[in-house]
Amino acid sequence: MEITFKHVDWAPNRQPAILKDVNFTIPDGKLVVFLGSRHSGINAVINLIAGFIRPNQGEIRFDQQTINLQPPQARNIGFLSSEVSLYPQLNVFDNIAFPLKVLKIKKGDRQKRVRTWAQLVNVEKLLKRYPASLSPQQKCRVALARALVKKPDLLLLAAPLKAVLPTERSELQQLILHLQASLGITTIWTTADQDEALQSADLIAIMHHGKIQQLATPEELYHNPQKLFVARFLGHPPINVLPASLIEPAVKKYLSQDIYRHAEFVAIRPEAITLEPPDDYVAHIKAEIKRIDNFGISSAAYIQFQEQELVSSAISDYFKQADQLTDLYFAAQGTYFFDPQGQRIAGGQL
Amino acid sequence: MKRRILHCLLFLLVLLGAVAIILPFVWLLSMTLADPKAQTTAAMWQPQQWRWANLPSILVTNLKHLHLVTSFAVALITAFLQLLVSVLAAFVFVHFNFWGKRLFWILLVCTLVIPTAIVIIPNYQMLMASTWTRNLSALIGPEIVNVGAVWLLIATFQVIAQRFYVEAQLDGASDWYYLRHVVIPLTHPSLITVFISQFCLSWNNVLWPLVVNRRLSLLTWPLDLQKLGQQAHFSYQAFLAITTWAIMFLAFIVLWLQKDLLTGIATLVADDDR
Amino acid sequence: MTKRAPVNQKTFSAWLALLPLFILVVGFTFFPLIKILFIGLGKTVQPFQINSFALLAKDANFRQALKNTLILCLGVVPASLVIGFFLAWAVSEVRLLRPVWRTIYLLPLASGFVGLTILMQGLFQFRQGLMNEGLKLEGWTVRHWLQIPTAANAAFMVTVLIQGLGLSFVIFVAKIRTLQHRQAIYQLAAIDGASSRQQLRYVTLPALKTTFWVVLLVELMFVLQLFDQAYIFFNHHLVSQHLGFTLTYYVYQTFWQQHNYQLAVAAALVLMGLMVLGMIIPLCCLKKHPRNFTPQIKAL
Repeated sequence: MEITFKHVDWAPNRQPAILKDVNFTIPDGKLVVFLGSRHSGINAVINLIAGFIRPNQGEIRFDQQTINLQPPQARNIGFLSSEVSLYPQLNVFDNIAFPLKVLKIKKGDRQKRVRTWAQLVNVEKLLKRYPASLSPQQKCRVALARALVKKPDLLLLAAPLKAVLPTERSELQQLILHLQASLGITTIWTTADQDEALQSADLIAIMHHGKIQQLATPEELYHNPQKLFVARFLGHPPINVLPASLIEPAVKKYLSQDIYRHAEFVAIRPEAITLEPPDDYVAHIKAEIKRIDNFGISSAAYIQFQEQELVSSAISDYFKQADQLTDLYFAAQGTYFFDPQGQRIAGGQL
Repeated sequence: MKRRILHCLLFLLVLLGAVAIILPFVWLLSMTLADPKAQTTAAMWQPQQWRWANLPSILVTNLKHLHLVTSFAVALITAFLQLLVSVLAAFVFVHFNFWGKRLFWILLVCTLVIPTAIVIIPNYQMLMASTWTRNLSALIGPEIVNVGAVWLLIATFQVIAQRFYVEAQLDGASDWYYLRHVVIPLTHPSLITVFISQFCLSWNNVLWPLVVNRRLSLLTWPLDLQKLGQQAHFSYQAFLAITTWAIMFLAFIVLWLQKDLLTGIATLVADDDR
Repeated sequence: MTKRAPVNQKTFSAWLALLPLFILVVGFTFFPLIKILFIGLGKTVQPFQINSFALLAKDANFRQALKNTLILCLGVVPASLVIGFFLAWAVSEVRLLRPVWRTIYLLPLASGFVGLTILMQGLFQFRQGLMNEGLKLEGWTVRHWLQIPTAANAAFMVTVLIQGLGLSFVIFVAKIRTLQHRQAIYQLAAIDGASSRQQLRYVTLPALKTTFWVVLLVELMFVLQLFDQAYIFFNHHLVSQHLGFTLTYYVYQTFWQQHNYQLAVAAALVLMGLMVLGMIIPLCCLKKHPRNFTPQIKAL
């Protein structure tokens, strides 16, 4: 099912707007992660799609049909949140069977489907237990079965792995990805964890202050960030950001006149700072490497450049000596220029 | 579509019920505020003809007969003392383990099944026999104990204790300090619920003051009003006017504080999730 | 510090704080109870004698009082439970102006038992009572409702029912209001496709099991011990001929007007028996005693 938002605004009662003019289209069958902090608007988006709240303005369309006024009951959506996803007074079997009961499916069919799904998510041994006695990981599995047992058109996951122990998260993540791929169901996943997003998503929508900063594949977001916010959001260690004026001579040479006038920030990926000049480089600076950390197969160098600290990362033993002025090059592929509003104007693969 | 119809029907039902409830109160107001010389019923019901001055004037005329002050004092003191006693008891039940705890709790719960009717006789004898209770304390004394109040406060304090007690102890606070500065500020709804409930009960109490009044001349307003109402010269309108005052007074307090009351009552019932 | 010292300290200060409650409970409830049953009051009155029950059974007044109490119980308690719950649910489901409706429905309870009883009595007055006014408008005959025993009894039953409804309503509304704040589970049910009725059945009702017992308890305590309303509604000297002649009223009349101590106590004991019978199940279902609180900071 394709989901479209057109000029959607939403503000809770008597409070400033959370979503402002949000537009996007999610193609059918894709797993899209909405990545952002708590107040970025990701929860509002998922609540709007579910139908718990209605937009103040704009349209929400499922498969080209506007469904603004449709109540959640009518939307055939599977939903999973980290807070409440199971009925406390029902055991696991009845929890999974509940959506089918509501749809008035006959008892025999119901039982068959519940057992099939219990097997798929690996909870057959837990069918008689009650939610209070389950671990967060087990609750997540049961909730997943509950969400999918009625064959929904859409799956909504609101921070599903938040309550699960970090060590158990990857297993659950694999389960969700496997189910999504085999069912081909359009899935929306909200999270604040970028690693989770990068590992799972077909597409990622990064949200900040109620606006979608960029909606693209993980590779595209990493190598081609349209906004400074996006560039900063992704990547370990985080991208280095300098005022463009600090490398002015190089900038003047590299950029055309009118673009140069608007460049306010330059952002350089840590792996784009090299000791030897690459084929295409934006700038050549002399700076002092303050400290080198070697961990396993990689290393990081902390560089002092005119009162700014830069981080460069490379394979281990790449950086030889610290505490002396070194020649450093900013590779064109990992260097981006942004205007004062944070919009990208040059650099990277542009 | 079916949902819409159901919701509309429900709304209509609630509306009709609300009208049915308000109607008697409107009648009461019309009876109180109508011109006494109005002959026709229709005249009585027209709001333009209501004399709002009736209310204060009737109250002022009958003030000294009504012992409203006595009622008010008794209700206030009873409610306050109950709150005090219940807070102390609930605090102790929640935070301490002590000898006799289980036994005392069972004892308290047992008082629920002991009807007023059975203790009222010996209480009466006892209070009338002793000389030091020949005043308001006779009216107040037996009413202070309320298991429900203790129960409610225990439920409330337990929530606070789980969250804050250990922290407070780590901060070096004594139990008394913790009670005063952590528990009481955080449990306003429950404290208000206890106070208001007992205030209402005392305000409306008839049996105990009736019984006590045989020896002491301490009347509370319900009894006073009954007495006044029996007298031939006392108009029914005046009777209803005083009732209006009593109703308005209590209703105003309760409805103004209804959010706190509802929160307090909900705490009493506690959660059902397993 | 030895290991036993903290426990003893706590016990002492605990009982110090409990002393007021303890004295009051023992002084005004248990001591009087024991006195009345085993010791007797003063020199002239002997302790309670078992054969009083036989005398009691022969007293027609007592049988009437017992019957009245049971009728009131049966008429008011189940209806209050069911209708009170339904009204609480209905008022909570309505979106538009919900606080207004809730306030209006709380009005009868907030008026106080005495005020409401006087008001209800006034409605059925011959002259200018609301009932008769309404009948006059329709052109039907007006009567002295309060002087016709069955009509007066019905009116009284309605009065008690409204007060019982008020109690039930306020408790259910309070609890449903808390449930509604926990939006997440209702959202879950909505997404599962559950209609309002199904949400009621699968989400609201299971969460209200304890509330149901609390309301039952409160209603029983309210109806079984009715006195004030009867005294006011029937102008006290006429009570004995009407439905308001409850067991508590019988005790009052027997002791303070007829000065028959043994009968009064016997009747009170029957009432206590009734209360135990009615309330034992709710109390057992609610048997939450304050758990021993852990963790405690151990003395260093």
